[in-house]
Amino acid sequence: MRGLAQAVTSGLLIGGVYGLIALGLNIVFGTMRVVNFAQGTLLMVGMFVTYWLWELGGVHPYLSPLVTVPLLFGLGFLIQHLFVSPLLARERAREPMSVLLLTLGLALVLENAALLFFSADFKTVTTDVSMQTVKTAGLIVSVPRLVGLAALAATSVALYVFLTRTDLGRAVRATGQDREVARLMGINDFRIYGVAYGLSAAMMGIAGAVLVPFFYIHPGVGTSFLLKAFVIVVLGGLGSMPGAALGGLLVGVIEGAVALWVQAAIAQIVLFGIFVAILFVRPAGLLGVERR
Amino acid sequence: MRYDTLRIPIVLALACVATTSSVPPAGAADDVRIGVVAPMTGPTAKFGQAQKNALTLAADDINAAGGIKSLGGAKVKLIFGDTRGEADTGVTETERLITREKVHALIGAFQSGVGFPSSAMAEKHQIPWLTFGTFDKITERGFKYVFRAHANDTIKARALIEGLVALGKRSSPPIKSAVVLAENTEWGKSVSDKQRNFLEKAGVKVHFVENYPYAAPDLTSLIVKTKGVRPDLVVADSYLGDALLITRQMHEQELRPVAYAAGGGGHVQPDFLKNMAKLSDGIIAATMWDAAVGKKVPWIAKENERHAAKFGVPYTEDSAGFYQAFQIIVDALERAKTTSAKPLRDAIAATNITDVNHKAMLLPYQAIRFDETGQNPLATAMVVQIQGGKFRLLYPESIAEPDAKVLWPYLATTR
Repeated sequence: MRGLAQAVTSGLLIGGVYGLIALGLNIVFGTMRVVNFAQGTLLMVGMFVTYWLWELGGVHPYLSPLVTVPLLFGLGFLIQHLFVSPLLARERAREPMSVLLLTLGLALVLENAALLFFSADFKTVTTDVSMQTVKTAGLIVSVPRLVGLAALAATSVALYVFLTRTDLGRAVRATGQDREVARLMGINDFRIYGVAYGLSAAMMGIAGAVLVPFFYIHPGVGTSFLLKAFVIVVLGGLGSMPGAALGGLLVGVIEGAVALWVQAAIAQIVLFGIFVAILFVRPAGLLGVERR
Repeated sequence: MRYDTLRIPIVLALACVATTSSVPPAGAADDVRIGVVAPMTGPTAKFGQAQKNALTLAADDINAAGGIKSLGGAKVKLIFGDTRGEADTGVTETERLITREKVHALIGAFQSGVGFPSSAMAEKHQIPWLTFGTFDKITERGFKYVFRAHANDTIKARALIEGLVALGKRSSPPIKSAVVLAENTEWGKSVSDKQRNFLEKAGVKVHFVENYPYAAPDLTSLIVKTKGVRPDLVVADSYLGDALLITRQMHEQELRPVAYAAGGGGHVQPDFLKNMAKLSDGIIAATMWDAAVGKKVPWIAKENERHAAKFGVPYTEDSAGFYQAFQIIVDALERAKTTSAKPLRDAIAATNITDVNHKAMLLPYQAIRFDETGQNPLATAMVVQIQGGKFRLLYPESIAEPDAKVLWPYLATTR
């Protein structure tokens, strides 16, 4: 029984990181109707920036969001402005296919550039918090993963406040609900897309910072997280912010429990089985709103 | 830095132009052309570069000493084909080396996944192929032109388990039970299965073998499950990322088995030692080559020093393996007295090297011979232990470092 409690706990902990990535994916989808395949690669960029700040400047990973968040916001905004917008402007459809392919292309370009410039060496950062644990009630809780969970909570609250209490946030939501009507209300939808993409990238700065102390850094590191994020977003509801956070935790727990009872490889089958089932039974996801 | 990183693609582009447009120059027919299929670029380019270095050193030696004597002093020319670490590229490069460059023999391809299909191309064209790669099935397809002088996965797994049991007998506490954690691609599945067999044969209870998903973000549950059965031995067959994650999460979850062993892969790479520092202390692993073999065989020590002086790093199991393959081809060429495929193939099949001072014995065995499948049945592997960030050769006793002591249990110094 303690084994199960331990598995659920560690599932919740890694779920924090999953949730952050899913949240980023969902902001872009919620506003632009585009599944951003470059999300995992942006996470990789966030991790590498965090790594170099530590390696060259001695900046603690938990301080690096001060740099990575604005930097990745800028990068996201630029990507949107230079590559996505021109395509989006040409596409009339509400769910532009070519933009989806474009993000996949961007992901490949960034990943291969990272391979060329940073080499395929695996890197790790060992800080004071790496491998630190807290023991309570017979459970071993990894401190850096706990920080990840806290980061998810803090980011979710900040995002919620931004989306509901600020004009810019309301404009983001309005654009997500109806691009044309939002434009009629005087909202510059392409600027809003830039903000959304930038925000989503900035979150990868946060996710990168919390991952670096306990995970390895490699150009291909985003892939395994991105696949999980897809499942989470579908589970929680496409475009639903609370759904992404909740879905992240849920996926972490399912993964942990199945891996303990049966096998880690079976956990993947269960997860992707749920992914397919949700698409059939409840395409809007657990917390999503049916759209027409 | 910037200049260097820019230079690589430029050089590559030039190299591509050069290789596609060059026709073997007139008069080169007298040269012996040996094709090398290896990852020169891509994620595993570091390995390919080391293999190229070792081969270039070997070829320069032969040419400086007057070439292949039985062929009237013919020079040996190495022609490289870049696999980029990809199976399909490996196959097309192999075909290019055979059909356009008209190579007489081939060496390749580092990753078993690339070598497996590429060697089939060599077989199709009936050009001798000397394998580097441990996947058993490479030589188990009834092929006539494919040979492997070094250990396969079975031999490596046997060496690891026999070594562990032997080291355990000399130490306390002993190993009575085990768990095997292996990644779920071809290599992990194949090697873990063999380890289970050898463990059971040695009377060790195997609680379970689990093939976890490659490159998983979190493996806590797996570690918790392993901790639940309290095994004396944990064997991990992992690529580098997973090796780092498992080792760290074992520490977090306070899983400290008596012995922590690895089938090779990520645990024996320099990056692992660099990143894991103290947590690697006491990990026991199987390998096919270690610099310490030079302590018993003087020429190997000298050869390794020369290599290190020239390239800044010692031989590794793969670069030494490529070197060995090259020397076997040279040995066969001397006896075949021709470069035509069939007699050369027969000469390789008839290889019988027993002199420990022969250059093909850089990976030292009782002998280099090939059975009817093309595998050297006398190939062996050895067991090393990470001690203070360095490898110490512990098993088999015939080649073990005389002054090396086993560190037992795992993390003995920090417990």
